[in-house]
Amino acid sequence: MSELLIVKNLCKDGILKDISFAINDGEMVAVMGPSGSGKSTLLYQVSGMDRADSGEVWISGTEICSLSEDDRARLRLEQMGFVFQQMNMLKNLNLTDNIMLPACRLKKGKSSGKEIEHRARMLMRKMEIEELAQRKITEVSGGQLQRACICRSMINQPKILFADEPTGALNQSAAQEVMEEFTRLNREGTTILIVTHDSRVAARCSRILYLLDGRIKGKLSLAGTPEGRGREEKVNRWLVGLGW
Amino acid sequence: MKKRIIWNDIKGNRLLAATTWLFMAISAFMFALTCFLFVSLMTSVDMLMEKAQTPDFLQMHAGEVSETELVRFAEENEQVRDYQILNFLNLENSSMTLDGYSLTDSTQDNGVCVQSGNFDYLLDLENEIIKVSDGEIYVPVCYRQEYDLTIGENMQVGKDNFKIAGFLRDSQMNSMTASSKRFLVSSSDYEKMKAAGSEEYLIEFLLQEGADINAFAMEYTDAGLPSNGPAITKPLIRMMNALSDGLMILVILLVSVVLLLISMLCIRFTLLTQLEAGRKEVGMLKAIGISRGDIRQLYYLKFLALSRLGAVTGLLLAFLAKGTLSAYIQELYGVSENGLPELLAAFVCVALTEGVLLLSVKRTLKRTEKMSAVAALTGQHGEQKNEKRQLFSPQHLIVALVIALGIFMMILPQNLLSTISSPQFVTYMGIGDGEIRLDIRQTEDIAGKTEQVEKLLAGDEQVADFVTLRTTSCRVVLPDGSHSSLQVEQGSHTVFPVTYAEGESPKRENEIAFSYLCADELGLSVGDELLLSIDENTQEYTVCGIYSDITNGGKTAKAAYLHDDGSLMWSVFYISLKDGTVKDQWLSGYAKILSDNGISAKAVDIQEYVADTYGQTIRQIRIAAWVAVVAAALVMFVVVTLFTRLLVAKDRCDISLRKAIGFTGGDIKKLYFRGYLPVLLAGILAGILSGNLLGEKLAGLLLKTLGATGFRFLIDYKAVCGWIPVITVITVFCAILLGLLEIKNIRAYECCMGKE
Repeated sequence: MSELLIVKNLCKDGILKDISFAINDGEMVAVMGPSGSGKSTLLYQVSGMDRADSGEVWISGTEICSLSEDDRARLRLEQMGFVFQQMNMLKNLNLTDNIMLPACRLKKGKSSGKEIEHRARMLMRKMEIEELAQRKITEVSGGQLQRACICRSMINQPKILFADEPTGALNQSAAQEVMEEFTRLNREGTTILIVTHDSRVAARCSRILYLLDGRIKGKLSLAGTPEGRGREEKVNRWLVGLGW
Repeated sequence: MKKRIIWNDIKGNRLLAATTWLFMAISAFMFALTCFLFVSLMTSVDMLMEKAQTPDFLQMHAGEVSETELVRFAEENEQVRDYQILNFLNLENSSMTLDGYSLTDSTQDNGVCVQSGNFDYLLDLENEIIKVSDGEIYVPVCYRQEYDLTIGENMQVGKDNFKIAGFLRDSQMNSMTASSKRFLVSSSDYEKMKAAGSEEYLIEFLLQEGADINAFAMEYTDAGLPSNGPAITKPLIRMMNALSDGLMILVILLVSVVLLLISMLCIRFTLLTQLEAGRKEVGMLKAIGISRGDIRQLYYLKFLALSRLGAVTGLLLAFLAKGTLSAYIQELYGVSENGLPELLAAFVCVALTEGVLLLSVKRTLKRTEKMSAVAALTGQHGEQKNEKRQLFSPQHLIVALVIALGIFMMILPQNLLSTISSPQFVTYMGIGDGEIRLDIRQTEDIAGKTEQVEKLLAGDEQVADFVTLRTTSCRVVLPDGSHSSLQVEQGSHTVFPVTYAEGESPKRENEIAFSYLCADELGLSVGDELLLSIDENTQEYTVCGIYSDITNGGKTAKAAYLHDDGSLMWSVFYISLKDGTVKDQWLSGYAKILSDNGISAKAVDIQEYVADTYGQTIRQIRIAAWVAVVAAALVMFVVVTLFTRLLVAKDRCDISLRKAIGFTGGDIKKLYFRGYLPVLLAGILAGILSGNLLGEKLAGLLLKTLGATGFRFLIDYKAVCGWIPVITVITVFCAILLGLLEIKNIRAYECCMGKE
């Protein structure tokens, strides 16, 4: 399995201190840690939203720290998907238009409008929100909105999906539904990096990185561990061991 | 997708979108209207001058004319294409009655003439050459409105009655700023009337294409041809035609510029408000990889759509409004046959206006580049880090600026109006600051008659003071050796002075002052030395001052003493009476005395003269001034209402909290009114100061192009310190009240729910 994301000696404003790790193609990795440990900052650096002070970040063979802001934006649009805790979407567009937005902003010639709409419909069908297609974002529940955000993140068929506390603003059942979708996407081959506080979310991943004071304090591989309560307990025990 | 984004954005922010559209439409409307009026005026004037075949050079002359010399001059001069001598019978105003209205009080030189043979035709309202029958008379079109005349009515000249057969357009005397008016009669009627008036001649030349008119005027003077009267050139006629309505258009242009500034400010602010509210959206768009250009485009598209809509609305409204405002222009000069230039010019002007507004939008949108995706997603607002307690919030600052600009917009035309209609304005026109002006022109033995009048005035007990100014034609030799002909007014210029922009009036021998336009043309400034020749006598003079003069093209000079009287062209007396209230009686009594002494002179009340000459201009500026007041009040009302609503929306949570802890709606409103008080005061103060100081400079620049320099506003204190601030306070108060209505809909529990 090839390495899709490689991070080497990453430092940022004293929040991240010499971080190095790699994520293989098709992996689903969770980043955990207490508040202020630098989880979200790490996500912003590795996705190119922010520029690190030093170190390297390689995505699909491209070092992104040396790219211009516009080039990094282009890379995010083409190769990355994003899901945020706050489910940010444009208020003035309905769900379908919001989902289609990143594809429409790709340079012309890649896909026609109809193709994009078809893709959006397919994604919504998979996420079981097709009947909400024409709804405004204020007319759907938090769980439905987050599923729409996942559809948007997948519209350009990204190589890697970044999720920052994707279940943080959801109730338990909605959170579970959303995680089901992440797991399904990962099974279908999408590489995912999730920043989370929730050990149940982390337990669905194949690997967990534990961040404390800007450094990786622990790594846990869940490969081969059967799914279910046992897996969650293993994660919890590991976290307690790290002082969680 | 783009259309949906624009449409949904507009639907989602109806108030902001409507305001943006309104400002874009108002700006487009004002500039389109200015453009329509300006092009309409210029094309109509040009069309009239072309159809009438206005002469390139015109010399008025009273006295004998040797036609042989003129024919020789015209035939020998290669520049002359055609020439003619027209007769103009100057009549006593008291002998003329238009449908029962006597022209006695008219300050114009009224007279009759016949239709020209070769060029300088008098045209009807269809701009066709008039053919007049016996017993009929055509009246200058400017009198139609003034005396409420219709075709078929009666005009009496002495004992003769004429039927008004129509109204005429006179390409050279149409405007009220031209001091003579020609009525058209048949040749036989003219012959019959000859004894009733004094005949003058209009010696007219049409020149070859591209001929130098000023050089020709010089050659004419050098040839010693008849010149007992003013000489006028085609460019001067064009300027006089454009002047009266041109001033109104310039006022509208100034108002348009102020409105454009207000629009830019408000559109920028509404955009900033949207960007602030959409900070998270921008962050999210950046995060998912939408480029900076595309994000700007998302916002820009809406403004582009609103701008197009505003431009179309503005153009349509201007098209509808131009009819009313250009009615007088069209009456005087006719409707331009080709409306395309007007439309094209207005279209270009509106495109430029919207371009300026969109450029300001683009500049503002650059702010999105500074918005960091990370900061937006983590809820950090970088720009608030250094926030300090400020006297005014950005909203308040904008409101103060808009109030200041609104007041500026109201004050400028009001002050211009009060200045032009004030007694002192004559001093910018090259006319002394007296009460009565008496002219002896275009008659025989001017020198003798001048002395006679001097004696009469000296013996008149009612006269407090008077001066005599004699105008002589001179030749000036400039420091570079070039020469030019010049009319110099000799006499005491200190008693009833005109306004001096530089230096002072001539008091000593060998001192000479020039009008601004004359000094500009000859390249002279105070302290320069030059030679003045009168009848072969040459002497050195020093330029002592530059004064303001917008009459007769404003190219004149003044000296206290001339070394040679030369041939006197005309004389002017400025008179002040001991009791100013008896002006009318004195004037009518004096007309009789002059006539008894066989002196043909015209005495006028200077105030009436100004009212007659600039009456139309004053009326037009008054309209423009009221348009400015209404527009400014409307703009202030819209802006303050909008900003108050935005303020309430922003403070919704705070208001809810206040209500929760027991504040009433009235208490909260009081807080807002208290917040607006310093804003209102600062805006009013800044508006009054800028309106009077900066406005004076702007109006000065405007009038300088017409030859009036050293312009000072005669401030209309009633307006500036009275009703303009009152209108502003009432408008702002009503707007705040309307903007605060939303407070009653805010519930006390909203803050507890964390609802914003």
